[in-house]
Amino acid sequence: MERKKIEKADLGRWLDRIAQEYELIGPTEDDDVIRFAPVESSAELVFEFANSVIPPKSLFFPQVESLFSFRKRGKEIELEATKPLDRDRVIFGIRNCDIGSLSLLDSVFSEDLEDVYYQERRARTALIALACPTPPRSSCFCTTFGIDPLSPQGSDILLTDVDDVYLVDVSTEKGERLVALSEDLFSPLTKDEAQQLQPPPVEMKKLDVSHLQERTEALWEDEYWQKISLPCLGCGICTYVCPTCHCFDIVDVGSTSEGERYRCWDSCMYNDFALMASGENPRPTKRERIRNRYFHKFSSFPSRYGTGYACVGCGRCLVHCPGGMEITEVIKDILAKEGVSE
Amino acid sequence: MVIGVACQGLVDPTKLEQVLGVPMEEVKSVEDMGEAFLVTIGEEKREVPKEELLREKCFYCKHPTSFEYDSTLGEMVPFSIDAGEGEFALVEELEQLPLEERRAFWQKQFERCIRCNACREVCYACYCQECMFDKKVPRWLSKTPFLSDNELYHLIRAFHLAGRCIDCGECERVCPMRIPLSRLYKKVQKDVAELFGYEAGMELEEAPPLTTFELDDQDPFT
Repeated sequence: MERKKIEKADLGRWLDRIAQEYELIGPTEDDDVIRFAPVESSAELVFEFANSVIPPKSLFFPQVESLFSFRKRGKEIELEATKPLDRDRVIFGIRNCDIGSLSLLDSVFSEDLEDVYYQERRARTALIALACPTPPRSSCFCTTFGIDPLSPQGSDILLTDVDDVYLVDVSTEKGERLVALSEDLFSPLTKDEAQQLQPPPVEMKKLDVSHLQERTEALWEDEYWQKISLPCLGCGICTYVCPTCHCFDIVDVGSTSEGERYRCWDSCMYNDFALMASGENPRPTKRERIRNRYFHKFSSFPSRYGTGYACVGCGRCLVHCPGGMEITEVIKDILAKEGVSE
Repeated sequence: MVIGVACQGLVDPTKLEQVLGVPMEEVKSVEDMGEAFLVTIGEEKREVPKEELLREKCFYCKHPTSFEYDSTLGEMVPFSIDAGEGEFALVEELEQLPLEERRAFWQKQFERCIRCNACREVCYACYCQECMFDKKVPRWLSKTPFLSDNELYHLIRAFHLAGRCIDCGECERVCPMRIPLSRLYKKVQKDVAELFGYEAGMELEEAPPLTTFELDDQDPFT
């Protein structure tokens, strides 16, 4: 697709036009917390932000969602599936790390059977990505996992902030329909502009993770996991702010004759995550739970789905961990253990 | 063995971000210079007066110096600002509001709670072998972060900590959703102070009032 541009002053008008046709979701700020939330108008959105605390995976795989309701009538049981969406949606302001996480989650939620809840949300949502600001946060390391913060890959439209305009890269039909809503606000780039209007390169720390899987697997019995588990509180922050974590629990709310079945996020950092009905817990201490988390990210996930590692370098876990655990340091340690450094 | 220190004030990470205009992870180090903090961001060093960066609790802290110790580290002279005043000012501000507004204030906070349990896990006063929120039989609370569940979680925690919370402020520090939890626990502290004349953490041998009773306890419910 040919690159277009939209004046910054016009972006709000376009988004307001989108909000008339779709449910518009974007970054909002309240009490110093950036969250993706549905908005009525572009005035509620923030445009200068690094990223949300909770990743936009929650818009496809919500922290809690109803799957179906049930009602017992004599011996019959009536089931009614919950509709995941009322309207088609547009998410504005998603970053490329989080788009990368959606492509990983796509593998999970279509593995043996199509997860209709996740898949319907994916199919009925258009993504307007915002290329990352320069410089990125020092916690960012998405390029480690092959993600380009300026690439249009995975989005329907990519907007790149350059001077007084946003460069507009439309990649899909969904994206074309959104641009068509306010065609007059977009204009093609002149030859000069196409050369001059370039975003500055985004530079960040990049680790060589090409051997990360086998290095991780060599460390199953290593005392390293005990050592790094010491400052871990055993809270669920790292898993809940992670755009690739996807474990859930199932909960019935109501009575035995009538109620609703929900699924909600669960965390492998919790003591009861692997607890069995017998009382046996195969991951009784934080050592086993932390080891499991990193093994899932760097070994079992790529093996199972044939994808890359289950980390997109968004840096949320290392920003929010109360114990100061940094996944980038863990990766360096794992690689260094075998005498291989970045 | 307990080694006592005199507290020189604690940095509030949120204020640090606001005053410096950079996210926390860009801050390399904070050095104590006596009357100011020396903050290093990348290659740049900036001196910021302590008053601009201190946690709220430092402004009313009555016990900046250890009082139970075997030996000390350094001189026992804390950083001093007008201490002891306005300890419950933020609570009183909320208490002035009508019931519905108070409820709305806390619901807005609890609504964004993701129930990561960090406030519980970091709490020095949580010592149950199995927390009631983790119990399977009976199951008091699921992992579902509905507003009603979140309210229950935070209010039960507040009651459980009555007479035991020493306002260390760690719960608020670790909260990724920036819920002002200190304010909630401060209210319980204030009630315990008013009802029982008790301040948690001051006497090693004394039992917290809600774990025991005395015949002349106040009984305002009758």
